Amino acid sequence: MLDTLANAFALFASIDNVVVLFIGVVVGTVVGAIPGMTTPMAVALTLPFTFSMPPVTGILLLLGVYKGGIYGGSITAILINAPGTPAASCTVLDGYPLARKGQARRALDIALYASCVADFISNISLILFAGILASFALKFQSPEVFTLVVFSLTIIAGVSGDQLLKGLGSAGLGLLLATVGLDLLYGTNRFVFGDVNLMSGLNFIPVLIGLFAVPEIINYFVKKDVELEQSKLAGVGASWNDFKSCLKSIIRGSFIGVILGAVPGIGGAPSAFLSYSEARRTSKNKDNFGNGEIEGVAAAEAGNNGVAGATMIPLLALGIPGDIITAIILGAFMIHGLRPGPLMFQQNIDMIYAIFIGIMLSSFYLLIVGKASIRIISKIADIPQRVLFPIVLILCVFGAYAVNNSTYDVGVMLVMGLVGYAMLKMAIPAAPFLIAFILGPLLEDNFRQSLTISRGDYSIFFSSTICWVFWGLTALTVGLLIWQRVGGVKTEVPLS
Amino acid sequence: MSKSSDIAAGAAFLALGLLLIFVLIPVGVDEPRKVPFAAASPSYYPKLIGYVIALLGAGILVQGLRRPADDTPSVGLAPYAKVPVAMAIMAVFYLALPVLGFILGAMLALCALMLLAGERSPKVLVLVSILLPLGLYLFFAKVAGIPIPSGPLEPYLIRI
Repeated sequence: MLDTLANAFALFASIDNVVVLFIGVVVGTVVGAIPGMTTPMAVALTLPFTFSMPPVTGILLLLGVYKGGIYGGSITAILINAPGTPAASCTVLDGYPLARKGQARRALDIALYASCVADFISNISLILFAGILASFALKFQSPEVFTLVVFSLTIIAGVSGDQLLKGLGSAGLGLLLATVGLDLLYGTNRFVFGDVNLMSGLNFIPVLIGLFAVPEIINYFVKKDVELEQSKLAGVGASWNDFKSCLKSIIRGSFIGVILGAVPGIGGAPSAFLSYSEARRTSKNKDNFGNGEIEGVAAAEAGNNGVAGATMIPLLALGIPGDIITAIILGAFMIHGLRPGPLMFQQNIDMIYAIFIGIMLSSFYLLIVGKASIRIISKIADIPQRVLFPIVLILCVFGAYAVNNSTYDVGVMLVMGLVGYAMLKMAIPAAPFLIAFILGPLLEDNFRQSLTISRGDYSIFFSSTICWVFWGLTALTVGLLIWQRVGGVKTEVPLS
Repeated sequence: MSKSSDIAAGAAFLALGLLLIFVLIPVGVDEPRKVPFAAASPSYYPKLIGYVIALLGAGILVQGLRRPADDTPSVGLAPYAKVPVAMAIMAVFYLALPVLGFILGAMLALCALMLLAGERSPKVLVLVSILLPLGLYLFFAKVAGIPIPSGPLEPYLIRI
């Protein structure tokens, strides 16, 4: 144990890591603060820059962008009433009214404190629980892994949009696209159609960038350039009393975030709304919520950021990404030849600990960046969109090319951009597509391996208690989703 | 979500599912001569996905048809005028990559896209379209060691 920790420190303790993580947090915060840019876009576009870095450094850069981006979203939410992410839309409810009252600084401060505390709690729970979950998952064999992936896909497809069927269809497309290339068992061609470039399958990065960055850019050309009214960075910062009065909501929100974040597919938005509604329910100033209540900002941000460490639990312990960002980070691991999951806890535990050390540092960085640079960041975030979006498109091109030094991948990225745009227009959520695309080989591999073991007998998928548990959870999720739709329950807060 | 997007998505999924089952899989998936059991075949799993996609498509289609008509009037095609132009710029960029290379191509595409987006300041247009591709070249080629084909600019860039 001590040995491992010493190795982990040795892996982490380089100037590169410390600096890169900081750069990541800054970049994430800036991009998160730009209206129209989302955190997944920021992480996806950062990914190509990590190819030449050592694995730990690259992953830390992405984690920094992730953490910074989630906080950065609250800056636009508060100052210009434009949530950068769905999760930040809850921060708008009280953050924007506060800014209108000339208390933007106070709202931004409390958002920052809530974010940092929640992030810290979330990171601690990641460190505590990932290992336990991983050691449990070591017992999994092909049938168990197969049922786990089925469960994860159902919940991801079901929760990520307000449309269960379209979400599942989107996941189906992802699974399908993942089969392109040589067959895993026989090495025969599938959907190659004589194109040599397709034989190794479609690369993850061009698909990712195409699906998540390009449609936003195309959409920009459809919209008119709207001038957003920006509130001034006015007023004084939050006081110690503000923080104290919000602390209960911040801690409650953090734990809500941790629990909802650890389940694949739920993510920041439901957690922020649940935390917010709990804070309102228990508050003395109930009526002030929605009119500029500081505790509302704190609760929303705590719920939102509490997710950020916890989503890494299923990723590191099981190799299951719960949302788009963790899917991208999974892609980054794979590019560096690593596969998160129980085996990684045995083979590369020093690396995991090094990432843990970095992740703890990121909460601290967030505080510094948020405190010191809000003024500068809100200036940089003023880049006009008519310049920004063309730049992003060029970044996409270089990113798609750099994975494999392949011009073909640039074409794949552009085509996937059109597919992504069509999906956007038909209101088909893209997240299940991407996650299914990345989990597809795992699903098929374990499906066919299990059947090979049982010689084609399907009862192998019901042969162990763990399988039954996952089937049960899958049925429960689908049942709940259907009940929710038929019962007309508001889907805004899926679990409340 | 609107009726029309449901119908479009449903029809697209259904069509893709059927296309898979009847055309793409029979044509695109090579079968080994003998498989020990059905599920071992390379086409089994894609076929399964094909059926699921077709079924989901039918479901979405039915759901869309039963939905009340959209109350928001259609906006027409006018706002989309710039989209095909942007796509054309990228298509030309992609096709010209072997000739122009990444740097020159990116400079031209970037400038064209900014013009299309409405940027009119010559200073911004020139500076951004020259500096960004150069900066990216420096990072990828010089720092990360990833070769970037640069077409006619190659002999000059290599000396940096």
